[in-house]
Amino acid sequence: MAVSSTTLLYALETALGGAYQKLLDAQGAVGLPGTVTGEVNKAKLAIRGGWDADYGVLPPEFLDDHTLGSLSISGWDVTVPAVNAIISGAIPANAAAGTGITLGSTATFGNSYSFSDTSDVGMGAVYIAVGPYTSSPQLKTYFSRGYAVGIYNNESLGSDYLDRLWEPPSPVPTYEVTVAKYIIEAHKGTGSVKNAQMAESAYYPPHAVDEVIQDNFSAFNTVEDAQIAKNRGSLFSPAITGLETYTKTLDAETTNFKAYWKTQGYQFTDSFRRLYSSVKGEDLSVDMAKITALTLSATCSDKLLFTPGKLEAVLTSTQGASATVSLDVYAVTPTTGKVTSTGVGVNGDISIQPVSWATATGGYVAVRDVVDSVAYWRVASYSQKNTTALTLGFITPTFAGSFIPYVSDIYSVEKKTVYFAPDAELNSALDVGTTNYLGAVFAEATGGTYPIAETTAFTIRNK
Amino acid sequence: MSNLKVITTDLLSTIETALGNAYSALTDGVGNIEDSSSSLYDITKAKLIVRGGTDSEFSVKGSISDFPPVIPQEGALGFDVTVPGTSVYFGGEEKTVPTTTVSVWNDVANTPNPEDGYFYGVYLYAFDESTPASDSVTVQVVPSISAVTPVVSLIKSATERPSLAELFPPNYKPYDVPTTAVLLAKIVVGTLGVASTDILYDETKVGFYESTNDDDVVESLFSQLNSVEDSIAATNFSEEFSGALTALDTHTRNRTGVSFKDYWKSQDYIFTDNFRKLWSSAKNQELSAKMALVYPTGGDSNNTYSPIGAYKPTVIEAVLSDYTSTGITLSAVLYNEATYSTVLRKQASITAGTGSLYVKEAINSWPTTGYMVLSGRSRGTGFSAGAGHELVLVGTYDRTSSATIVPFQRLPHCADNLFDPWRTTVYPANLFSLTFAAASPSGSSKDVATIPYTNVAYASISQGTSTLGVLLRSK
Repeated sequence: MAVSSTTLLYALETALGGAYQKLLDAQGAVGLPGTVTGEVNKAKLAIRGGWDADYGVLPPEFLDDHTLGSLSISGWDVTVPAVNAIISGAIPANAAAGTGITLGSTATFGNSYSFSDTSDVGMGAVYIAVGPYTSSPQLKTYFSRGYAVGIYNNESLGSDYLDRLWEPPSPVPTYEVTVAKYIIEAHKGTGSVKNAQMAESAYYPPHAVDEVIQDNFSAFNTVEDAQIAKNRGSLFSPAITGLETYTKTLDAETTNFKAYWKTQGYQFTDSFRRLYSSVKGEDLSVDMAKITALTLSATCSDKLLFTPGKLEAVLTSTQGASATVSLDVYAVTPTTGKVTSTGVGVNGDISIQPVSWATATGGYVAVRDVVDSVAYWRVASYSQKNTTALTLGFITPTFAGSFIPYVSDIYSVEKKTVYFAPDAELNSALDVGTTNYLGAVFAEATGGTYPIAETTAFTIRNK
Repeated sequence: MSNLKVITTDLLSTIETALGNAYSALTDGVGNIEDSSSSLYDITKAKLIVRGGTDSEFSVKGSISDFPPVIPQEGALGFDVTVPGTSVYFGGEEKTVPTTTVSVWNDVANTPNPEDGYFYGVYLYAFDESTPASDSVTVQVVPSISAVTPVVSLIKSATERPSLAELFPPNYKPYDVPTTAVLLAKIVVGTLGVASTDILYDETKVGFYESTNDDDVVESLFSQLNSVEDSIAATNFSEEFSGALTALDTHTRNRTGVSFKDYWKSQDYIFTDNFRKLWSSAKNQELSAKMALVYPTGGDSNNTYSPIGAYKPTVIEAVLSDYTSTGITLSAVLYNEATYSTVLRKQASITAGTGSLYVKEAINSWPTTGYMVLSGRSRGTGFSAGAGHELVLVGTYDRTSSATIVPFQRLPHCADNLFDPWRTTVYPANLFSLTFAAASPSGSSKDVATIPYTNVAYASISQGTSTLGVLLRSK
């Protein structure tokens, strides 16, 4: 028996999206050690000097080596020295030395395993984070729960273990940024660093020989620019063509792959959406918000388009609609900025890097927040306090103890109102504004009369 | 010409390390069809979903919607796993898996109390070491926690699942056979210990698909997916770095009068393997790499060998490190990783210098007798020194009696060891000799062989003083 088209599509788009994502992960970005772009950038910086990353470690003096310096390991204790760090591309004052952390305790390694012998070995990762973004940021250390390997020689764990196993047991707070990671081995009485990442990646002292720069910089800069701009999606173009051909066999009347699966209500994986967008220059259909008359405010996904596009509001249930319904849709524009401070739990001020779209007129903004591992959009009206500070009034519900995470993007948002007539037909769609957006982060339905037993519902999606 | 304005050694080290790492990140990301963490694995998977069958040597049969049917059930004190009869591709051949029930964790009394709701890993793999190869494989299940001593416990929180790499228990990788399935077990603790489990199929290497039975699917998709697979597999990603490499070469020529390769050879600079690989692919030229350093006295213990040779066959030369008043004779065993080879399909145990090698492909085309090199992962017991390390073993063979179970005798300088099946490659090798005449000055060089090779397996010097070393390197 042939498999269903939806089952086949899911298997194929998952595999192709996964393949593309792995290439993207390898491609990386400036400031990401071990990635193509990160390492090529490092080679260029070694010739040019300076830094390009937004976050990283700086030496005390600009002619010095760029390493963090030595962690002090004594017994089960690790102490981190003071450091200069780049945050959001700028240099705050020196971060105070981080407090030491103690490894090898029962609670740290779990499983009730206690180090008792000098031959015991513990391995784990120490994360060095700096924040918040103030005049005197603090240096913080976090320890990842690691192995308690007892009497075994850690060398036999293999090189894979030095890089792949060490994640912090709980996320580093989002108002701090990780600038270095060290994988360490601790013995009772001694210890050593087995691997270090990120600390060397931010800064290189200026190179002093004209001929070296003259002969090499341009070529390295060109290679770097090419890697930053690389579109690995083009390798998959024939596969997208094949899927389009296959879709036509399902419905000879369909105009294209996107249109067909939109009518089926199929929601693609993010990886495949990204791949399709890179090949075709447009996004597949994504449901961004669903509103019912009972709730009146939207349940939004945290998805954004990879290629800005037009949005539409679709009437997905006409029950109970007895008057004109207006939908206020808060649409994210392709312009963003950077939050540079710890945020606010309720209405208040945040600091941002100066951006042209934040004006005295005011408007709306949105940032992502993560609460209990779930991403939410925080949407607020803003008034401009000055070029680097906004005063926010939240529209979306706030969460106790949450805050706008610093180092996150802040999006410019436009509020657009859509009007559905009382006799609007089921599945009728209306444009949200006339320009391209990245998505919808909030929506509210007003107007109309909604008997509790009946439901009028809307979906906001890209066209 | 002054060299003062040529790039310094320190700067070169930073640049070539970074470029080599960039190239390695890209080629690792592309990967291969056996590596489930790589892009090419997923692309091949998409093609196989449409075409059916498999391209992989090790995979589990499945469909696009079902995981292999591995069934968890509660045991008296722990939990058992039953693998029903199914099929796998093992060593490139389809084999059956008999119904197998294994106890994963049934020794609660000797282990720390399992923590309710936490994840524990189970590593399931198939192996076949019967001779001759049988039509079925044996299934083993290895828990990530020792039932006797809690040596390693990768316990995560109830919501924090360990990754695949974390599930590989370091003291339970006996054969390093490519994974066929990994199970993730979530423990629920009851009054008497483990009461029930949720077994989540995590990284099961499914690569063996049924046909979709749909002409339209194959007609529409196969050719295109096959084209994507072939294109990515054939892409020379080193070309993306050629501009930077050419700049380095031009800079060196302008400032020193010689090529990048020759200048840094004269400086005795040792390039990183990743950068050598990049240069070899982009420039079709091998940078000079030291392959062996041998001395006439002190026995073989003074000699050192590099397990990573040239990336393309190249002429290997011998270079005197000192003036010799008397002539010396150098013998060297060379092999070529680009030539026909085979793999071990059963653990090779070399004890007291001899052993039999069970090879996957018969070596009928090899000379009847000669030299042979095993290149793979050594296998000690537990965490003894040398375990898990890459190792090269060289010796002589004689295939007169069998071309598939081949008698082998190692050379005296090598140690007895165990080699993993499937991850140990077996190469034919050749012995060469050359002589440096009396009064040869330091730095004298001679080609070891006129035809190109990639690696030096072994070398020795018949006479000379103890300080006289001979360097073997790619020319």
